[in-house]
Amino acid sequence: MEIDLFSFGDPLPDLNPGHLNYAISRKVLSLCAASKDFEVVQLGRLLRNDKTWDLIIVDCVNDQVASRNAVGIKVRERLALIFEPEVLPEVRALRKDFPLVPHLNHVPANEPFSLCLYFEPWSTLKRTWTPQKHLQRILWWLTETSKEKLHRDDQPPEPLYFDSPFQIVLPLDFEEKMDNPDLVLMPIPIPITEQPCIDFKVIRGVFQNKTHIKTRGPEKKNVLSVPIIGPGFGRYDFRGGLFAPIVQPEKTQALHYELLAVKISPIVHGVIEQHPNTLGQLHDQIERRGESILVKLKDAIKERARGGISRNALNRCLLMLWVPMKGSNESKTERRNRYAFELKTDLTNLGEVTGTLQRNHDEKFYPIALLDAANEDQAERWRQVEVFPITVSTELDKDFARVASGINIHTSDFKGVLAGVGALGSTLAELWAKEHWGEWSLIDPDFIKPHNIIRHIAKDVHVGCFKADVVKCMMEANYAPDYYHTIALSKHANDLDADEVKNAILTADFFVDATTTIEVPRDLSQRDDVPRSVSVFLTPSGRCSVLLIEPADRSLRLDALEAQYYRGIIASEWGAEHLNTNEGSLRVGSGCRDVSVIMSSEAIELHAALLARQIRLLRDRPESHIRVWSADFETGALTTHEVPVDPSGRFSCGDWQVILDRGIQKKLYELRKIRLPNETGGVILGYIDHKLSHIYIVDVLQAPPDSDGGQTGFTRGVEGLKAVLDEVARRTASIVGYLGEWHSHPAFTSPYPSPLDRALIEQLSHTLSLEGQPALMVIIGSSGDVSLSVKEG
Amino acid sequence: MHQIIVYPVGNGDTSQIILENGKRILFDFRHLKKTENGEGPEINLKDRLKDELKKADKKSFDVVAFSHSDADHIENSTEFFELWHADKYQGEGRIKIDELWVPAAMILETASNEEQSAEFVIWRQEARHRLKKGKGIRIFSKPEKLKDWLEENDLTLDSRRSFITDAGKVAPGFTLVGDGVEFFCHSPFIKHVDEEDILRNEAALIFNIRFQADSNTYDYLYVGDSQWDVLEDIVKISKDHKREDRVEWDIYNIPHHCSYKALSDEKGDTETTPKPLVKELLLYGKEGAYEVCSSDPIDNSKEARGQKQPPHIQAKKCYERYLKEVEGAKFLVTMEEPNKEKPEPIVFNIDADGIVLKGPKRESAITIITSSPAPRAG
Repeated sequence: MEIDLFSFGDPLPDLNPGHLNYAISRKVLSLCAASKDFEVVQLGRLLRNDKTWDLIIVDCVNDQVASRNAVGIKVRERLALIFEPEVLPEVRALRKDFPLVPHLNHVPANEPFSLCLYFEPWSTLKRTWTPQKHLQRILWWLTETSKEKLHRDDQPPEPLYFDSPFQIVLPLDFEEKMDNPDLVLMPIPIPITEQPCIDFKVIRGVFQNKTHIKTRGPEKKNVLSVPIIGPGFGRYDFRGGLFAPIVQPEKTQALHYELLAVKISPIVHGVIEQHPNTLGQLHDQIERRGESILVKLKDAIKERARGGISRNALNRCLLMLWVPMKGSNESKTERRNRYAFELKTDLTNLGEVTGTLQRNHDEKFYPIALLDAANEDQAERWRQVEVFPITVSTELDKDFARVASGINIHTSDFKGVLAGVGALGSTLAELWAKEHWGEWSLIDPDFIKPHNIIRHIAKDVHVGCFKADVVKCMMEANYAPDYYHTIALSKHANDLDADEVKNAILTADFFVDATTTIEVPRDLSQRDDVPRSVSVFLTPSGRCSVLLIEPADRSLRLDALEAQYYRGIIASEWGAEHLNTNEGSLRVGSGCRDVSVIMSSEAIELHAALLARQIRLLRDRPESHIRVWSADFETGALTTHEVPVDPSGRFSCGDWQVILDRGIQKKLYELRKIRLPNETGGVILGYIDHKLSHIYIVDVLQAPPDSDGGQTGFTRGVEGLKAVLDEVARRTASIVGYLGEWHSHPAFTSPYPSPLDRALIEQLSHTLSLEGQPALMVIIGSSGDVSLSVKEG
Repeated sequence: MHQIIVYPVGNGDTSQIILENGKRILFDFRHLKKTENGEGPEINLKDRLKDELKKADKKSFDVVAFSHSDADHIENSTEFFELWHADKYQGEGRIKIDELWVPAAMILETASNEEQSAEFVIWRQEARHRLKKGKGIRIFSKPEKLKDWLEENDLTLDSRRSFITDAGKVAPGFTLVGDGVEFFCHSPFIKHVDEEDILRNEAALIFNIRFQADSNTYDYLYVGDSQWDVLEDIVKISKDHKREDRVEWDIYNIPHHCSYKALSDEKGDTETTPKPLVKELLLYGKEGAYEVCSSDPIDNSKEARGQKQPPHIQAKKCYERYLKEVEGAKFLVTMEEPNKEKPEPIVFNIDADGIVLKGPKRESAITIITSSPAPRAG
């Protein structure tokens, strides 16, 4: 039985391990000799890229490969195992009719196929690689490949080609613009310096106006206005004080590519083809599927050459091939594949060899009117044009960003306002931009100061810019220019007198407060025309983060949730250290307010990632939540605390509004009940917003032990009260304090204040007027009804 | 999927075919007593077969075939199977044989007085009993001596013809269409049996067992203990009858524990040179074919080269040479797979994609280390 084999490398005289240069190959040789699965046939040497490679030619006898598998892998395969210590070990299948299967590396024409055995680069792989595992891997590859079942109908059709080692990244609007005669696709290589022999891996395609290009000299043409960010570009540039990628014409040498786009009709998928090495091979591969590219290619050449083109031997052509694939002749197109090939010739030469262009007296090349002008010799010359495969990919788009982020695509289209794009807000913004979640207006009046860089997504170049502008720019930079849009407003988010702010908030579906202020959520809570809102912030230590979200119907507002959050701090164990400032603060300027907390960006990013997801998930649910997370920075443990949310009421008392929730009412009812038939009472805790004239009740304390409660009255005692008030103030950063007094009325009585009660509030208000604070009196009657009295002294 | 299982029973034979339809055909039986005490490395065949049947919820083999009656092919079998001809071979736990296949020689052999209790005599009795009853028996080859025996026992050939399969015929009871398998009988020939002294090895069963899976067929050349001259006869006759396809093979059951005598009458110093027609037989191997040798491990040492009893390393080298030439796969030795210390049955899985060796469960080194106590540290 004759098997046609490639000869590969220079053979060595015998199987003496001493002929091999490297320890690694000698090790493999000894393993093969002892293995039941490998029979050593010959040793060899290969000189390539100025390196010497050891070759071990083996028969791999794999008893896990079925003897008559449909794929065509044989039980006994002749392989060349190739080693050079600094490079990923290579395995070539020497049989000339080795089947074209998935997971082969691209090799030059007339070389044996190279098995694609590993996903990882050698630098990573070599930490776990052993010769034993390598031989196992080869067996595994052959076994698994031999099991590839023929294509079933329910699988997507196979692509025509596998990926090549190079990529072109096309703009999202490529198909729209490709036929526009005024535009030309400029392929801009992104140079990589690490690999001197291959100077680029990625080419970015950018549309330019043709006429615009023609007005420039060829050496510095067209790239000046092309904003490209690539690894080789280094520094960034200012644009109007903003962060923007720099364009360095001397480095961004455009490849002189002429784009030739060819679309063919759908073809039925079959075996995966090997990358062609010549235009003739490419043509034949397509023709075998019953389609032709030649005529369309000729049309494309003529189209490009319309009006005459000059020869530039350095130019290359880029053939873009659209290949819709379908599973069978009957099926609809299932998959559209795009392939690109670099044609190693300039357009004028390609035109000549295809018989489509001819040189005119002005030295320019023009389309030949009639196809048959080309003679037979020429008709075959185009076959020899070398082609090189380039994988086509497209710039990131919305759908892919969402799907790849695993977010709910059905609820991701909405208009959001993000108020406050400081450390936390900017990080949230960046996360959501990458997910393409929502469409955002950013509101922040502040600008970037040097110390902000520590915790903000801004960079040094942004110092002095408005935070909103910087974050907008950074969010948009996640996508191709002009694809992703945000609005930046350098204003206060509660300044609804400003039309832009008002317009942004009132037309939005969702409002995220990351201002870490008290005023923005409180002010916006007063308006019925504001969308559902969520407020998030970190505690001064950076250890905890907090999320307050209104219900979808806004029956509860952020300001009421804030009060309940404080009750959680007071009533819960976790509240004891919640608002502590662990690290202290730093002065960052000479003003009294130029103080910055000590907190690393680690804390910001940890909580931002958590909050970004929580906001995203909770937005999809209608209910309200108060959630607190505490991190243990030592162990990395994160604990969630859910604070119960109670329905809340807003009650007018003269000029004041009292915010009282069902939780407080319930507590009053319980405390009263315990003391019946006697009256009882105690201190009311809360805070006052004088701007809003709001009194927020946070909690009520039970009667101190030395209180005196009878069936006709109650006198609140003092024992332990100071300690409790001090602790409340400490826990809440002095926000929550004394508001007034509450007491209960006995059975069969209303909560209506008695004359005695009136005297009480009178006296309270008188004393509290020293602080400019109104007095609050709350009475709970027999039916559980509550009366509220506010009196200013 | 069909399976061929070849059991590690030392220098002896036991193999089994399990068809996709569940039918089981056992070839030969060699159980070593020492394995009952956990001594190896051979397998405890009784336990193994009982276990397999239990898992398949079966109490019998559809067929048990004895290629010939040498001890290493029937050892301790009369303790294992239920025999019809005497009560003492019946009872709880014995495995039933739906149909017994034997070469004609096993009916006709004579035995001396001291041999009367030997197992081959018991099997002769059983085969004769079944043939007389006209049930559960198939005899291969129809020599004159068989006719004589029938007449002596007041039976006619015609009345027993349906239990006899001649060489060159396919054994009834199995079809490619119905079962995905057929058994084509190459041997014994009549001449082997009618010669004056019956030579067991020459009169042993040899089959071309053809499997079918979808549209693919696979040929298993099953040879009991045989010699080069018999094999040459088979090649010659097959060629004369234009039935070369019956000597092609995807799996070759190496005869007589890798004895050089199945290749030639000369062992050779380092490698046996096969007789011309035996060489042809080896070259009838198909691409990706296997050779499976039921024998003790085959060493390549000076001592091994000198040993008289099979296996013979010189023969192995010869087999391997021609296997490579036909782009075959592997020469497998039952007592070497997956290792000499604890051999396991070799299992070939056969389906439309071809023949695959059922892989040993590869355990990671760590699993192995952590699943048993570590060596004592000093």
